Amino acid sequence: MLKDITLGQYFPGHSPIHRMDPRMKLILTIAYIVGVFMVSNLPGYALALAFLYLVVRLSGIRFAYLLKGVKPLRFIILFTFVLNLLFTEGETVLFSLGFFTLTAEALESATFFALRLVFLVMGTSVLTLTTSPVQLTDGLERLMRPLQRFHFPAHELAMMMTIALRFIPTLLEETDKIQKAQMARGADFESGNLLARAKAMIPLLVPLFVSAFRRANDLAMAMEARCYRGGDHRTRLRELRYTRLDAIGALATAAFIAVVVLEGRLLG
Amino acid sequence: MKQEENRIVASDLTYVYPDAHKHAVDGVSMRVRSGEFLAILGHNGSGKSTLAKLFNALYVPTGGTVWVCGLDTRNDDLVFDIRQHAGMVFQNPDNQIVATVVEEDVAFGLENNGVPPKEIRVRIDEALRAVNMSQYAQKAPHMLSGGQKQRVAIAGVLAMKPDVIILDESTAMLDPSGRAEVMNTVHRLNREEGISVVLITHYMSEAATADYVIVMDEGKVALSGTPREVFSQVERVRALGLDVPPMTELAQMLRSGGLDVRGDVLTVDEMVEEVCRLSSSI
Amino acid sequence: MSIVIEHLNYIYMSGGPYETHALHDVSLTIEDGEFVGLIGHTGSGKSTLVQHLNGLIMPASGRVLVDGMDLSDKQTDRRAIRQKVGLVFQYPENQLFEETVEKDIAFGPKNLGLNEAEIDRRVRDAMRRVALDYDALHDRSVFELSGGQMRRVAIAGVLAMEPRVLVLDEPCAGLDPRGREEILGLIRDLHREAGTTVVMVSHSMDDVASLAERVIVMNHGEVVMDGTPRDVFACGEELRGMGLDVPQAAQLAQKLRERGFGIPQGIYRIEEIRAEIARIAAQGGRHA
Repeated sequence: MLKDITLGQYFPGHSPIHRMDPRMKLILTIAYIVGVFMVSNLPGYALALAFLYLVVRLSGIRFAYLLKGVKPLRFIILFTFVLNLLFTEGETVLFSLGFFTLTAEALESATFFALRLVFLVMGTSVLTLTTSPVQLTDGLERLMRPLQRFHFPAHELAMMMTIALRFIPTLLEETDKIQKAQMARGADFESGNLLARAKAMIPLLVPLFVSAFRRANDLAMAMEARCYRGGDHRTRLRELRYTRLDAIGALATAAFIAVVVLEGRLLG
Repeated sequence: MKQEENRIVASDLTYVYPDAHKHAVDGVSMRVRSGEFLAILGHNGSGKSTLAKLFNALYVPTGGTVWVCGLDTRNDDLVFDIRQHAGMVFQNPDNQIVATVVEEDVAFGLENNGVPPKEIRVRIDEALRAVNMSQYAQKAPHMLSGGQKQRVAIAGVLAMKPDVIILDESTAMLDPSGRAEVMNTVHRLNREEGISVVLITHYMSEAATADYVIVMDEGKVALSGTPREVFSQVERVRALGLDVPPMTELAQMLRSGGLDVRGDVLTVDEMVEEVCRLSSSI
Repeated sequence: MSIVIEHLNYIYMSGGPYETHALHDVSLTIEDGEFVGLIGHTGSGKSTLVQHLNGLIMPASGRVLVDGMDLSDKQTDRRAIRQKVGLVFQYPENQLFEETVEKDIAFGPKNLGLNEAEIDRRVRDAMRRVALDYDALHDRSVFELSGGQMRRVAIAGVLAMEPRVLVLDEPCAGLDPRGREEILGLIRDLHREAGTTVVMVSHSMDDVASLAERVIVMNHGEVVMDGTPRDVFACGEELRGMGLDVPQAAQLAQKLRERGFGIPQGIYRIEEIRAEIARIAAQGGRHA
């Protein structure tokens, strides 16, 4: 059921990748994805794959697990592939059937687009699998902190993320309970047409929202009682500090991007 | 009595909720002494929870005054000092844990007060040890039992080194073993660390373990005294919508049957002694 | 109408690393008109068992028969079962959703496909049974009510299904003594007057002692005791070993027995122990 979603799942560990600073991991993930988007030929993608494989090996996570993360998105990837195939114009006709013409350019563009998506998902998966939600929000907050000068609510956003992560399991459990309670009163969530089913959700959604509001109210009071007053003057249990690992990671990623660019110039 | 020996002093305290006509708290004067274990009893809507929130500057009195460790809660500049002196644990264990990891949650109050990270580490380790939750430091809160969650909440308060811990019906949603966990923990903190405790509850069995009991009704103090003094007034306590300990009730039944037993028996063991005395005196 | 449970097993998160055997070979029969108290500490399997009684959970193995109908059978009409066996969850006020008290209570009967007149009759009847004034409250919003009233509306919502068996999971959780008395009182009346079979899950031994005719004790997913309150509460040692308590009157009886007083076995009510103490006082002296 809902509980099976592995979105942002974290694999605890002590690998060099795990121990890197979350800020650096965030930056490097973005850099890696930008690097992949610059790739424009197959050897380049092989290189991107090799780099990713190396990182995953270092993190101690099975590569197959990473691929599993792509699986739920297979329809979206397939859809973009087909879309690109149909609407990219080209000259080198490979195959023609009625209105439909398959060109080499279209095939290439569709393949690359699909590959980019796959790498995008796998790259971010490496980040979430090796970084706990706490570290991730910490990293995000601190990366965005300079933006606070321009009134960007960096701390507030991070706090919201933390609270959301904290309450997702609680609310899932609650949903299950309310659903059962309504079923005990003869509610039917499974049959009928779309409209009937949407209507059947009301007895589930109203109590859930009521409860979420009550919880929010309680939580706000509890936070206030514990001296919460926004992000100013706040210290953190965990200080973030860049180490040698981060320098190595940064250099390795920079090297990867350099090679991709060079390779693109040479072969592209 | 000197001011510093009282942790909380309330004087003719009143509170009216915005848009309400009735006084939720109506002219309450009371105090919590240093190291005291005070229970505040009352049925739902008697004003006991509102009173608790006045002790933590969550509500500001609409009349009268509360001093927490000598600090007037009406003074806006003192609010955070007051909340550090008088920590609060709430009713619903699920709705007061902020972070996704136990130790991060215990650190929350200290982080808010700008305590240096090294000091935070020391204090949360101490606090978790004090509530016997050290081995759960890295766990996700939703994996814990109700009693464990409340102990985490207590640790969060404890890390702030408070003088008073206020438990606002913190045992109401727990099962008997969870309730016992929380009660044992606060009693130990009261005894060993000398922290004053204000326990808001409607379980008379919990109130029976307090040094002093206040019974609230209609926003006023209806009864007060030692648990023995309060519970022996069986009819009055019941009229206030509360339970009477079964053994006290039994003692009253025996007395009205003409037997010479003490009217203020609270526990099973005390009743055993009474029956022994009764049988040997004849 | 009886409920027969045969060799029931249930496993949570089967196959995974967190696999837990929640119920282990549970067999029991609940007869028509009984008042059963179901006790056990948190995680003993009570709530899982209770959800099997109206088919909200399906057994991993074994069967549950309600009025002769097998709940695992695909042909069995689940809605008919849920009409016969009403289940009130813990903190049932969390399930309220309608604009008015009346509409919320009518939710169950509507799902049963009853006509307006019948629904109206049932709503009024259910409100009367939980001591809520129809005229004063039927068009009020459920969210304006007090905690105790909300709980009674939620119970009325299940009663309006007119179940033969009413299962309540911790019906008094979180209520103050007055609220607890009210809820226990209405459950007692329902059993006495309407003859409804009641299965009540509770942590309070005193509540169970005052109401139940039969006590079932669960531990680690198994039924470990099943008998009259008199028999079950006489086993103070075993109950304490499972993290449970016995009513204070039973504790007192046991302690007096240890001191050499001739108190008969099986006493668990305040009234009974009062009579015993009065007898001791009158006779003056110990039997030992």
